[in-house]
Amino acid sequence: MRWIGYIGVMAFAGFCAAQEPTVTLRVERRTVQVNVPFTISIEATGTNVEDPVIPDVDGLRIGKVPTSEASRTSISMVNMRSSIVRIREMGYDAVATRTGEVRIPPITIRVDGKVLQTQPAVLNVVAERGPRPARPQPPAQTLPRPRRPSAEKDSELTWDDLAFFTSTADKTEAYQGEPILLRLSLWCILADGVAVGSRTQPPIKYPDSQGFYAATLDPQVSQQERNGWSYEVTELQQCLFPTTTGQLTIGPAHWEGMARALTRFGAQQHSYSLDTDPIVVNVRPLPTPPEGFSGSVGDFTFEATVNRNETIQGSPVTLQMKLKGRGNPSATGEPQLPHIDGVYLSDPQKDTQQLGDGISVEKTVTYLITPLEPGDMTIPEITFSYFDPRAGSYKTLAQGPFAVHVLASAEPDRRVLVGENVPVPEGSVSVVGEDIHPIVTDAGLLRPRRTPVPATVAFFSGPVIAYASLALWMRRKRRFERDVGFARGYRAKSRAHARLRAVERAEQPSEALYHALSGFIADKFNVSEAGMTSADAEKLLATRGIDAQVAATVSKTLRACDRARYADARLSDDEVRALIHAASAAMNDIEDALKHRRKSAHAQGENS
Amino acid sequence: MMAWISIAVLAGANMYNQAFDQANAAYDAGDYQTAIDAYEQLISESVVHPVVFFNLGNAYYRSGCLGAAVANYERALQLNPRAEDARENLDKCVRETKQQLARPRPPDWEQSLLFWHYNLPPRVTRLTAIILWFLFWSLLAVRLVRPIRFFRHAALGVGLLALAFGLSAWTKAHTDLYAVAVDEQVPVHYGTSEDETVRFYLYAGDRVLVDRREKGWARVMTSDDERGWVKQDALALVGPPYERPRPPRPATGNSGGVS
Repeated sequence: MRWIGYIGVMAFAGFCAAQEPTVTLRVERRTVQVNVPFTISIEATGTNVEDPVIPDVDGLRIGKVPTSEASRTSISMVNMRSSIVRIREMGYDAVATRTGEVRIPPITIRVDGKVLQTQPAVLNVVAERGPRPARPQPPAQTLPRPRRPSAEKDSELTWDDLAFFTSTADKTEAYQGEPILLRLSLWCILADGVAVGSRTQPPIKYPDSQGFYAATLDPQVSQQERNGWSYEVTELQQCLFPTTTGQLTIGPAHWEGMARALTRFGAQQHSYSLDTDPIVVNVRPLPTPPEGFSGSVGDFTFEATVNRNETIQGSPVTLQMKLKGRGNPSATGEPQLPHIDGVYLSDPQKDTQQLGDGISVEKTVTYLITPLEPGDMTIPEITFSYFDPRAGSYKTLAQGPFAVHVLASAEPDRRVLVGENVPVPEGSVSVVGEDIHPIVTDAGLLRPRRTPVPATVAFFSGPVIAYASLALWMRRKRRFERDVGFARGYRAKSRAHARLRAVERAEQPSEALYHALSGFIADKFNVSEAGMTSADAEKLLATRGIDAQVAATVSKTLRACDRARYADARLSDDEVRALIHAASAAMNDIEDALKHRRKSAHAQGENS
Repeated sequence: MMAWISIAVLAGANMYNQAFDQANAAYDAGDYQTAIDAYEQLISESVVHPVVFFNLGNAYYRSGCLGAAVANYERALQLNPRAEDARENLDKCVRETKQQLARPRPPDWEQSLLFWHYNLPPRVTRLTAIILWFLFWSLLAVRLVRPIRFFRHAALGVGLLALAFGLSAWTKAHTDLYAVAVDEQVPVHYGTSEDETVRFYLYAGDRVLVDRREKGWARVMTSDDERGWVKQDALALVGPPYERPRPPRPATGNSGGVS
């Protein structure tokens, strides 16, 4: 029996090993917008899935590192044949950088030692449609809440009843520029033992709306009953304004979620990947527009006011035109001010405000009109034309005309700057010449201005370098002042050599030589020179780790000098030169030994 | 040696002043195209002076190129914000533009941090930044040699001022954010393709802020916060390198609203 079991396991393992590895490339959507991120997923089945090599794609920026990763194992049995499939899914962030068709070449991935390639994919990249509004964030996970279903409800629920996703448009026939309200409704059940939540952020992907200008409205969350069950309904709304004519398609919106429920078989979970149905909209062109039509489609009111009906020559009156209504905020034009004789017209001050519901707009245009002549000034009738899609015709709203009486100024010779957007003091009037100011003939000395980058860098880095040099110099100076040992050691060699040079001229060369050498040693090791004998010097050198041979040479030289000093023996010139040479060599040896010791200590310090 | 350099510099200076005088003479004679060529030649040789831009603006205005005139008056004002003649000529040109758009505001961070620098010529901010920079390091150096009370705070204050003026000088040297429409009618598209829907139109002399450039296209923003993509050659950038704008193209197609 045991053998039968072993054979069974081996056969099962062999069957599993026989499963061919596969790789699949998935793109979140086939039509993407420039600079709007989307996700590319690679799914590989196999035991050992290595990281794929992401190629460089013209027109597409794909992250080299996966931003999401998931692994799962699936065991299935079909017709008494069982199979184990290990699946690794890797998600990569991608952004299109140009419009047009972008081809993702096959991506190479090694699975179970085999080199596999994904199928190529072709994306249609369209232009970015304006700044993307902040998207509403429904709760990431809806927790089960205690709700009692109605008495008449069917007690059996399917996974499809727990969450579903719909989209509706308030019209499928519209004029170009007419607002279309798109509603996306996500229904998540509220019941005991059931939890439904989103798997992605943002939870709902808005549909691709190529050919529309989209304005996103505030989301609404409500609780509604359906088939006797309570649901939390998250409703996202977009106002879409068709920018071209013909048949346009509002693409599917997408939601991915997860539900966990206590069933009769125990706790179970279910994944959702739901798409709404695309909606086709037939967009009609606008009829031939009247004169002065500036592209506004919707429903508007228009009001124009003048702040006073009497003014002084050169003193401006304020004309304010206010347009209010529902329409595409980016395509709503403004009333045209007709030509007015004998006035100076300022630059208009414009203020556009998008009101709370996202599709109501209030546009204010303000002019300062400065009369240049006394008498009666008339601001002619101001009109604003728009297309009313409900009536299917153009409408023209009119305000005015406005009459303003202009009094003559008392100071006609005084010049006033008209054209500034500030009220001009009353009584200061003259007309600015209509022509431009003439050219200037005196420009001073003209010369080219070229500032090479290296010169600029050198110019600005100069003070920094000077400061750093000064800081280093000051640091060294302070050390000389505070650290006597350092100062003596630093100057020992130059001092000793100066003394050696004076030996031959000295009355007592042996004594001078003795002091030169003993002084060098005393300076180097920061000890007192007075009373230093050859034995002291040898002992000092030995304790400070100087080579015994060097120490012996120094000691020998000092003793020779001693003998000459105390035996009153006059040294010959050759003997003096030989001793100087020996002393100089000994000094160099001591210097080298100390340097070597310092380097070793430094290296040890670095190693430790 | 120094004398030789001085002579060479003066000779060069004379050459530029002579070219400037010739351009002025052509302008006075009504030969605006020759004047434009001569002023542009000076600018291409890095003779960057507010008066040259002002005169060039006049020459463009006289020859009917409103957009190029506005761009050059703007350049003159950027180099010398106190040039009243340039300001008034610019106002006149703007009054003659179709939409009379106001100049777009600088980015918010610049308005918040550098609200004080708009009336200062770039030369002044640059020179002040350099002086403060040297002063800052000098104060630090003096403090190093001889610690004096409050020198640390003084150095810190001067350093912050140097930083502020340095930022101002840098901002004034990088004014390629502003541009002026030179064609009579410039379509502004939703994307970087002429096949994209036209969102709105700019007209010669309209001033815009350029916040992005991509493959010959510029994303522009008007003072009304309208955005869209424009072919870059239909604009004249106000800032360096002070390229010569192309001759304006006449208007084609219809204007206004959604097309």
